[in-house]
Amino acid sequence: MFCGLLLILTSLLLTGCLGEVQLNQRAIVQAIGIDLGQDGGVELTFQIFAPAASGIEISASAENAKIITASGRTVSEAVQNATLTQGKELFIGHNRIVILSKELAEQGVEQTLSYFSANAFSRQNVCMMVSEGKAKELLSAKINQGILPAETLEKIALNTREAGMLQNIKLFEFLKALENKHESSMIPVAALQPDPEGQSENGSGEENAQSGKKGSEGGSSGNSIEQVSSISLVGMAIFSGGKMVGMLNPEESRGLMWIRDAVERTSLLVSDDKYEVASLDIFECDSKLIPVIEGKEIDFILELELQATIGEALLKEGQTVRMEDIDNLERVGEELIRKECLDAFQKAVREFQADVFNLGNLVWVKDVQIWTEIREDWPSMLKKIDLEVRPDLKIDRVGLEFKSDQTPR
Amino acid sequence: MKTDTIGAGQAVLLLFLSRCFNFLNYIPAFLGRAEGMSILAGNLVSFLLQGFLLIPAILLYQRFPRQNVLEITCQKSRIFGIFLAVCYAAATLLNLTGSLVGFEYFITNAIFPKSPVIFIVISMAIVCILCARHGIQGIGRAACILAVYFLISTLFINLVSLKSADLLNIRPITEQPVASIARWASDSLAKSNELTLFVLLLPQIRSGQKRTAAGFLLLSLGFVESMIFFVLSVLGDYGLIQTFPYYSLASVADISIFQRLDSLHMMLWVIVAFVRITLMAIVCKACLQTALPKKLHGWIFPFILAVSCTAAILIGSRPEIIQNISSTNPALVILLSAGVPLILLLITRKEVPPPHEKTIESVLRPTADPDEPASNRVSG
Repeated sequence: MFCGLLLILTSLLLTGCLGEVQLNQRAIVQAIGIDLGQDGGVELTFQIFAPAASGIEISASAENAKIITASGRTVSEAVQNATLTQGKELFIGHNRIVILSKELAEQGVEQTLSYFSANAFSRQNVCMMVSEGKAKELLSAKINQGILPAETLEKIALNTREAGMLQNIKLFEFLKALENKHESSMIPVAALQPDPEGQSENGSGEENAQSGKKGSEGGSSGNSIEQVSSISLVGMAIFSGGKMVGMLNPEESRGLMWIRDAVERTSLLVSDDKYEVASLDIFECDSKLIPVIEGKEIDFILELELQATIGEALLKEGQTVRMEDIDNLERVGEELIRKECLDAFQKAVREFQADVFNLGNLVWVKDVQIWTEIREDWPSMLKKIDLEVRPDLKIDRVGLEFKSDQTPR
Repeated sequence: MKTDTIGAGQAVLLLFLSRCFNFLNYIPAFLGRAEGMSILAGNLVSFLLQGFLLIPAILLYQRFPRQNVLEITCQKSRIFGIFLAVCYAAATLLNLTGSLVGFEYFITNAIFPKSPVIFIVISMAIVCILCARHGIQGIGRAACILAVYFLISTLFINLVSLKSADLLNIRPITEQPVASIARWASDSLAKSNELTLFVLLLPQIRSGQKRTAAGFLLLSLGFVESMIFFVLSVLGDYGLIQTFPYYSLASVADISIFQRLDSLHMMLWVIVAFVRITLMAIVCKACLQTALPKKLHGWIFPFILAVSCTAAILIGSRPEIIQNISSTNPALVILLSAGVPLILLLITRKEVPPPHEKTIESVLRPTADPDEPASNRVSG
């Protein structure tokens, strides 16, 4: 009896052995790029983990990756075609990043992304990016850091968020916004940096990645040390109704983050009559967006409480500072934050009519009755909404150096 | 030591884990769109109603200690008692089959899409039936251990997903608040088959029947509401179109080196499914024992296994039937958990309660056969 029970219980652990695929028959996808294909279909680029050789130390990213491309009318068909052409079953359970080309994003991504939300193996917390050019070019770019290029790409996105520059968006967050008609979403935009040596931006990188050979030409010449990565994030793509409707530059993107209370720390460069340039390192930021509803007139107030330290300061020739001058620096910093917020709001909300700040939800929570009346007209109402920014910046640390006029010379 | 009774704590955890399966197996997409607040409020209303629904059963138990509804009915009318036992058995068998289908539906949709339904259903059903043969106390003890793991795991998933939570994702109700809350309350009530189990298990609980009911309802309410809160605050409306919302929550929760916690969730699913199906099998067998002659008792578990597996395999590949099962009417739950005890309470209102019996009579003991040896009382 006991043995029988044990045998059956053990069989439960073997359910994973049904329809098994051996590791050497799997292509482990690390990143997926989606471009617009011919005839309205899609062209998929898979960056797969493929160590150059076993038994040796795994080092630079580009050596461990290969690129597979396939086309199809839908993502499923393209995935199937990729399997047919290269002989291994694609496993997307370890995928880290999904890159959409700008061209595709502007046409609409709802249909394309439905594959990732329905597929049992797809992770819904992968990073999202929009590429300025082709997604394939971005995935093929040579990255000489870490074990996997996709890992570095993912970390670029995470670090940019931590630096308070651009918001990192995960697939489920994007899909969540897509689910509500009144909400809009955004995705960071990545681009290849221009090659300082004037070489082709991506050709060599792609070739290296595809062949798996160690190359020296990607972004370097002669004996100079290779650049780690030729990719940077250059702004935020704004989506409305599943289509990319515009893009914010880095300053506006940070404005977007101020309003969304997504800044954890960042650095502001300011200057005034005493400082040639001063870097204000924001280490504490708390923002609150408050709807002000009067009849059907809706405006918002953004209250920001920030704490900063002077990270780096270059005084103008012959200038010294007093503690009172810090107040002026605070005002200049507040003005810069206000400008970034208003620019972001102006462009995203009024120009693109995209509710990327959860404005509709704030109204909904505050006044259900009003929301019921205006929800159908919400996109057109966005043009009329005003934002008042009330930043309160406190510089309560001056760092380890302070050139006061009371300092003996 | 008696093997056919369980403590109040064990009963609470058994019923709680069984209820959790229904929550994990909850497919809101089958019920259409709704606002977050209506789901939260609907569940609250549902649990309040459940508290009221259990009152007749508890009052009846106070009048006839150590007897359940089937025994009391058999004393009044043997034929009606058998009829009622068959009804309760059918309802329990239906829930057992539904649980098997739910388990299989999750495994074949979210975990192993290529695996055959038959293998999942049969292996799970055999394990549960074999465990059911060991009686209520065995699964009661297992529930205590599994509940600890279950609660710690869910707490971990919730804490990890907290960083993605946003209260703005829980939307206030815009249209027809009463109707909207009533719809979700009704749905939640329809899925509370544990009320029926509680009514049948009452004599099995050694003491503290009222505490058991309160404990089960409060624990389940707290758990279900917190789960809904986390699903909604993290996933928003997107969570409501997911086939398995809590699984989706676990799969987007990441911390440190853990890129997704759905593997943890898979374990939880297996645990609660195991407890629920085993408990259902025990209760179903007890009901059928009341209705069937003694010589057939040995065939009850094979019968349950055959019927539930066949039905589950047939239904498993038919999502439209699963959708219909998912949106059941609460009438059956109300009738079996409150209606029958209330009728018995009214019928027996002028009766003098029998004196306390020294031995524990239970649902597991057929009243038609008072001389049956005590060993037969164990649900195996």
